[in-house]
Amino acid sequence: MAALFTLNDVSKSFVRGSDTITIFDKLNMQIEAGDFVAIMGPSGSGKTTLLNMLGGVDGPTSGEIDFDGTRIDQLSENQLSRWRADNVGFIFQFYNLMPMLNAARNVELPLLLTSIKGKDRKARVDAALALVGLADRAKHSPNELSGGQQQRVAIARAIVSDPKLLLCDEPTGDLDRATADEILGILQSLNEKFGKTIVMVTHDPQAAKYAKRTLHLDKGAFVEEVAA
Amino acid sequence: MTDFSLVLRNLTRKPLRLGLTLFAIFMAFLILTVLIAFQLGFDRAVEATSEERLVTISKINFTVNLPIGHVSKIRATEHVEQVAYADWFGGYFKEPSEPLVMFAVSPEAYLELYDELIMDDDARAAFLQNKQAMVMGEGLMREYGFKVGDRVPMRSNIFQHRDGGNTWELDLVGTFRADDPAVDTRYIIFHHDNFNESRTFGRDTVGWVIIKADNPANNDAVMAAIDAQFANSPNETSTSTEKAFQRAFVAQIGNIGLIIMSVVGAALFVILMIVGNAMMMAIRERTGEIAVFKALGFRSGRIFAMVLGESLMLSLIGGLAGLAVGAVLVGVAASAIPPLAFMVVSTEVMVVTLAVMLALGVVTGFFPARTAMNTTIITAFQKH
Repeated sequence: MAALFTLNDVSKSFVRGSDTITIFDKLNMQIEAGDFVAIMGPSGSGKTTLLNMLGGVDGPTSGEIDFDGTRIDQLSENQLSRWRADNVGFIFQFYNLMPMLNAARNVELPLLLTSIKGKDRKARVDAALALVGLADRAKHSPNELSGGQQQRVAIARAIVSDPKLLLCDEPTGDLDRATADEILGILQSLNEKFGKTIVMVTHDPQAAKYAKRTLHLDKGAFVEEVAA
Repeated sequence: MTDFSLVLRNLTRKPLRLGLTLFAIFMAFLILTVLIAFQLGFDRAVEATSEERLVTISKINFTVNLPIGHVSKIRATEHVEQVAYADWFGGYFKEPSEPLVMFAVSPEAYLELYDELIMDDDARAAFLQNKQAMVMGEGLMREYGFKVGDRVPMRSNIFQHRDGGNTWELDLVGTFRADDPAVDTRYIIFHHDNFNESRTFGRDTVGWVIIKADNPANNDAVMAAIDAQFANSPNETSTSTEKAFQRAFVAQIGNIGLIIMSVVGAALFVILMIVGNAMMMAIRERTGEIAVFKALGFRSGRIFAMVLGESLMLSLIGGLAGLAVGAVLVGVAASAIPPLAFMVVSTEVMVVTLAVMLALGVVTGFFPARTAMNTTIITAFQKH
């Protein structure tokens, strides 16, 4: 398979007061199209920072991040916005749905950034909600949904514009085991049936089992890779 | 769904806060509309007075009368073409709480000088022939339910009638109107001779003299000549254009413009603080949501526009409601209170008020919008 993401000598450091804190020092990795990668590691190991860099919401201090031939580390803020809208779907631990919008409206949000209108837009929203098993909850507002249902809406929102990449930050961190398994099953299905490339940060070894491979990160470096 | 509907949903997510903020804006624009209608209406009324007509009053002030002998001397002044005179009657009908603007005038000369007052020939003839006659603005007659032919007991809160009491029985013989709505016609004129003969004090004096020069170019010379001939006399005069006279009259009350603008400014400043604070709170509460919007791919400029749009919509909803209710109040006040008849919510008032609404929306929305625009996704998620 072709590499979707290539990270070459990526370093990331923060200046805090008089100290410089290095998160990564010349990190290298590749993620192939259609891969499902779980990233595990202790708190402070850099998992979320890595995910943020892959999503273009944070940049490296040095090094190259190539996505399907595009150097996203060189894009401007506006270019990154466009790139995210076209290529990335985010799934967060706390769902981050808009409380003033119902499920369908939340799912529709990314389509405001596209030229898809009217019936096509509605069809996409309906299909995305159906895919996550919430076709009958389209008119419900987030506070009328359980945590698992809210995360399904968030997944529907992430896939509605058909991005190549799904970035998941502890997507089951706030859910019970049974619900977590349902959510992970949906992600696995999106990967296997629809070819979505998924990068998932998790603390949960059970969750990581749904991925094709697991990378263990510690002190800014990959220490172990486990294939499923 | 559109950006507009998103803005609308954000605006309505806290109904109580929205209601209170809208009420504050509503009140501010209600006050603004009424006061601007007052200010601009007043200005228009002053502007509608003539630059061509001159007015001579006592140099002491306009409440001190001049000897009626001044009139013939003024008439004899070089370049003076026409002279009329008038006196303040201090009139009311039935109750002193319902004052009427009434002038005792030299009828023929007055109507010649105030040729913007339109009367039919029969009414004019009847007015000039009958010393007991009066004429009034059409609207005033309708408002009080008078009819032409009525004999109306008009009372003065200043003068006593020689027969005792303070009532002058006057025949309503006609009405007048004006084509220009800015010309005030809500007043009554009657014969100065009748008034002068029957009052118990102040006889053979006039309140002010109205003059028309043979050519407006001679106005300055005429004004100077009139005042010069009475200089160092017991009754010195002050002559100016009618417009300057009106402005001076207003100035005696105070700087209305400054008073109004101070009130409006204070009200708007308070509203600015309230709305600005509400918007800042709203944006602070939504930091995490703004980060999500950005993560989804919404550009900073679009987020800026949405927040600014929210404050503009807030300002416009509250402001337009205030303008609408203010317009109704001004209409009621103008028809119910004669001295406020000049007040009107004109296009100019609406344009000014709308401009203030937009300015309020932009000023209160700019900083929250900039904060939202500059929110970085990482920082916002960390705070969230």
